[in-house]
Amino acid sequence: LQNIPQNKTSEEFKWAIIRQIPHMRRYAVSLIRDQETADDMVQDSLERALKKQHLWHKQGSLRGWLFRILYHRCMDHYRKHLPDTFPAATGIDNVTVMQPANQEMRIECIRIGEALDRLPVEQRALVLMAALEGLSYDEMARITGVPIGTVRSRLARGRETLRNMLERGLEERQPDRLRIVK
Amino acid sequence: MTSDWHEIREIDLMAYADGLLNDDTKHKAAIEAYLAANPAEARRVKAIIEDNRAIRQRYRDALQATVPDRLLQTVYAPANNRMLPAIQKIAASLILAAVAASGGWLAGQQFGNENNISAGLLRDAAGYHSATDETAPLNAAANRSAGNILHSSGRSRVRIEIPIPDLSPHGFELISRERMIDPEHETLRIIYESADNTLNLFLRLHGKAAISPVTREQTGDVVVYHWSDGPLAYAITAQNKDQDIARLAEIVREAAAQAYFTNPVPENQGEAVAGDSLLGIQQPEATESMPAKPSNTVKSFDQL
Repeated sequence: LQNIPQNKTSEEFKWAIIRQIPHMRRYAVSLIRDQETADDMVQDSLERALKKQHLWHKQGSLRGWLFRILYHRCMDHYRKHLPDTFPAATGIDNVTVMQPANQEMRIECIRIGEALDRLPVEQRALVLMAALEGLSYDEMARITGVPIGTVRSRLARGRETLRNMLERGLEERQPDRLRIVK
Repeated sequence: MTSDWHEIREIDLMAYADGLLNDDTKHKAAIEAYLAANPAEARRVKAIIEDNRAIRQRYRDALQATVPDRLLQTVYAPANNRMLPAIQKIAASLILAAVAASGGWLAGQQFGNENNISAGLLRDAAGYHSATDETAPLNAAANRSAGNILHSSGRSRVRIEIPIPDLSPHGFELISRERMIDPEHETLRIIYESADNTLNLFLRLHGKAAISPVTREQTGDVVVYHWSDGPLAYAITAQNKDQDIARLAEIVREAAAQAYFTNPVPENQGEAVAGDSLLGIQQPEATESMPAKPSNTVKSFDQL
């Protein structure tokens, strides 16, 4: 696959990209918390990836490259439209549908979702990358464009905050940061 | 990062919790020794592992969701404006473990120009169309877990989850699945039945990744529809009756075209991944399914 022709969008390249779409959608919806908007982010990212496909082969894995595009697209969306932390969009936390019948796990899933919503987006993005995608810290640094030390510290802070919220209860959390409206 | 447990740092614990050290047994053992001697740190690491597990569980079904047409068309449209019809309700899915080994199809081998399914699968599909447990020698190893496909150390597994469509609206019910193993190939066999016909879906990994249209062959009274989609070869067999098997083959192809890669779960966070329990095909043993991180073989595969 490293020898995919650079001057055209081959079927092979498309085949490989399409297999990454479920991962992109999962990550985007976990970050954006609205399926339609998440799919918009994925679609924009795919369009950009196809347009710029000649760039990917020098930048690590295809997944990492697609996630880099997607991550920055989602961050742009956040900066323009959303506060840093926010509750899930209606319907997205329909864990009754999304989760198995195990009640204890269901409750845990609800709590972890609510706690994630309260993390600053940069921390949440990294916690989700590590937990959902199993990416290495090097990859996360390439995707987010920040030094690996920053990745580690944000990840550590995010997890600590997450754990504190889960252990002490969401009620004791710090108030959400207010969005600056110009 | 260090392998001396007296010098274990936060980044070591994080990497351990994230399953990033599974290929570094010495380092991993040092951290485990450290955790054994530091219960408070062990609890903290365990909490991270549990949080990771809960997050994966929270989004467990997201990978199985049908990809909207608009996203597929975004990829296909620039070249040929190909329209992919919506896939019907998915009845089940399979997980196939592939090996990303040096020299394998994923380790830099280009997609070939071969437009035909491997002759082996075509032959086997036709030959085993009517085989039963008593008559098919391949079935001697049926239902072996995916973890038993290859044992070679130094190879890294990747997993492909393959959606299988519900054909009941077309009169075929899903009744069985088998994992057939012969000396050279692992083959999955899915069996649908209608009132008067049996439809077998065979699939296996094959060496030369290619994308080919559905092609019809006939041997005796058995028709075989076969195609390749990347590294996966498919064949559908049925008795040659009036039913529109070609249409069913297209439905299966459209559903299976949404096959996707799944992430191996770190062994210290072991749990079933999406779809593992479906059709009873088990996930590989954790130690075998672990990606070697960092690993050349995994890196090659990741370049997909």
